[in-house]
Amino acid sequence: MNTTKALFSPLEYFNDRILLITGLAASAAGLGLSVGFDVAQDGIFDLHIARLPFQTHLLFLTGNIVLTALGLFLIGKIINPGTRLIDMVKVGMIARIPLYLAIPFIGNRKMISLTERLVRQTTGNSLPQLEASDMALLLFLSLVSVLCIAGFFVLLVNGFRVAANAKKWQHYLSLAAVILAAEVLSKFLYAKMVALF
Amino acid sequence: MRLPVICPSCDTVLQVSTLTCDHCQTTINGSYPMPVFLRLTPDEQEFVMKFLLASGSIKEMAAQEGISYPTLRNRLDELIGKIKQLQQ
Repeated sequence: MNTTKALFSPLEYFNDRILLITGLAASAAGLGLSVGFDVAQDGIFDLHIARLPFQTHLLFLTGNIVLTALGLFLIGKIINPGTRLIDMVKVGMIARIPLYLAIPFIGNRKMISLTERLVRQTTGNSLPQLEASDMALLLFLSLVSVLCIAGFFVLLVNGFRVAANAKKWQHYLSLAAVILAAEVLSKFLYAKMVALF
Repeated sequence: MRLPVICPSCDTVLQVSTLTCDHCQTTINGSYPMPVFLRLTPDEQEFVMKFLLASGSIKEMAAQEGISYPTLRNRLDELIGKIKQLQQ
């Protein structure tokens, strides 16, 4: 087995039990990180600093996995009638692992204080004063965020390709449309649900 | 030794023309089409054998092979497509 290929396309190389256990363990870790670092996963691929109760973090995380899995399953079934929901649930859980890795970078004290300082400075219609160390920190965070988002999409696309046996460009275009729709729907649903609670 | 199934000169599927009994050396000449199974690659033949030995269960075979169900199902779908093409 090619290790690099297996890391970027785990659904192709690992058996179902390992994938399910990894997905569940990663989701539990992701929830723990969200609660511990006060980072809300309030969208399919969104991470924001927000102090929220445990049940809201749980709602966001579950909602993200369910919406992703249902969206992928919907187009997967059209592409290949043999597509299984459980495979898409695994894709939905495993693809989020890179996003969980970004949480400690986004929610650490240094980053929060820098963000708060920048927000304070920009409220008075003046340009924020950035020191070299601040710039370096922001650049580092941007790099980490971009890599984590890229990792999320690589795992998502590869997982979808294997689970639905997608081959044509139209399949990938419909995947992009479904993920965007799920992102919009998640924002709408979470706003309604948080208001209800 | 691998059984050749494609003509090395013109890429046409070969026909079976001579069969010999190893015991009494009887030889039968004719023109028999190559069975579909033999026209698959050795890897594909091995896959079909494993699938058969797993009682036709992809789930069982995935557990034996240590790879995921959709990976095996995709390989099976591709093989079904190829066999349908060969039958035509």
